[in-house]
Amino acid sequence: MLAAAAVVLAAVSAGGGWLMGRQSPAPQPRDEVAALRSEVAGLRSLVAVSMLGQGSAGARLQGISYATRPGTPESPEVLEALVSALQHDEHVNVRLAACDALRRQTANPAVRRVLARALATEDSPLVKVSLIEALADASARESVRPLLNLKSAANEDEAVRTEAARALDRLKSKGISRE
Amino acid sequence: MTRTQFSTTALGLPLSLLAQAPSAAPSRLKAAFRDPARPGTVRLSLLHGDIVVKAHDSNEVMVELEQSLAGQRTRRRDGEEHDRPDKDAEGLKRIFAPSSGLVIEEENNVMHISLKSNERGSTVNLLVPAKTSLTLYTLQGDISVENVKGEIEANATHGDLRLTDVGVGGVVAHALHGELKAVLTQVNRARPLSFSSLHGKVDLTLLAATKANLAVHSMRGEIFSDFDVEMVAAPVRVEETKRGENGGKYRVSASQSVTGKLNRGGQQIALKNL
Repeated sequence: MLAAAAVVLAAVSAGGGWLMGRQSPAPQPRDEVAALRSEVAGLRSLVAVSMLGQGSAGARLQGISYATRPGTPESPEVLEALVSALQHDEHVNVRLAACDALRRQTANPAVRRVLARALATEDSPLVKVSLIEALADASARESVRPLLNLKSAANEDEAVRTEAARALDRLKSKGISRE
Repeated sequence: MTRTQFSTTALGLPLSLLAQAPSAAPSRLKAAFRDPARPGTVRLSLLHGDIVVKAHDSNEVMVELEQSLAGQRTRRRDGEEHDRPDKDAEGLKRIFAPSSGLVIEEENNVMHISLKSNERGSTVNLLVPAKTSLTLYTLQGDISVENVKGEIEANATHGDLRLTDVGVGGVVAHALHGELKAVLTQVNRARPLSFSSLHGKVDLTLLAATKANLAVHSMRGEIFSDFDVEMVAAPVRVEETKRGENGGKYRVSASQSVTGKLNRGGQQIALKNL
């Protein structure tokens, strides 16, 4: 499982920064302090990414907390590591933390798509409920279809179906009822 | 809750049977980590059964499988499992095969413990060196860990989780339907603490002097604390609904997350349930 996650992480990284929609601008330090500052920030995202690839759930959680710490720049590598954690991490709490981290970036349509797609692949009801909440908060048009599927899925946890129905109502009240 | 399920199973059997054989055929194995100087990791994953882990002073890991008669189910000829013994076996005593199928594999100081056959109602008792890290999972059963100082990853789908006198190595714990109870006697800032449950209660006990940043998220539940939590204001969300015939509507809501500091803040502790 972990090996698989690592492979996927590598594959996604090789795929480049499509998720970011835009590449973060190359740092143009005006003076040494700025250079140092950006170096430290870069190092922090490096630490976040490398910790997210580690064997223990605690280290991976620490990586997510690094990634979301104020001062860590948004970079395609960090974003990809968070997406990979949401999609593949074997521990529920790590996927939950990744979901919480990604929901701060729902202004990015690629992130909304990732969250919406995770609704269909995620198996923990608790993570599903968090995804639903994040998508409804973001008024994500992309989530309508997976939410409709969840709402009517007979084998789904009752809490998930209820939350899906509530989210659909919320979206509808904002005038969003189809993709 | 699973606890109830197990006791119901127990009641399905005549009491005299319980008296005759309270626990049958425990089987034990002992194993050492290749490099006992380095903290090892024990991984155990069960479909049915409880996991009980305690620390001991030895460098070795002791594994004991306890199969209680009370919790056993009997397989009938039609292949289905039933709480009551086969009709043909009425009045007879079940005899356990002594080969429980406990297997321990060690690689690079990581010990994988598995059971060849995993009968309902079994308990795996582990005694480990205190610094050992644990990765534990059970689908139908409870997990209890006491006094282990390594990193603890625990996941119970239908059962309860009890973690006592742990925390210094970090804890990442999830009980989907059951209750999660943790008593943390020592925390380490570099080791995250994270507790979650979908339907169960999350109950955390900390030393009064613990410095921590709490992030508590409960969608439908209530949050109680015996601590003086210094609340950090939660962001308030403002939504504007689409203008309809009645004009626009504002909805102002606070997030269901609570973030607060204990003793001016420190260790990150995340708690989440529905």
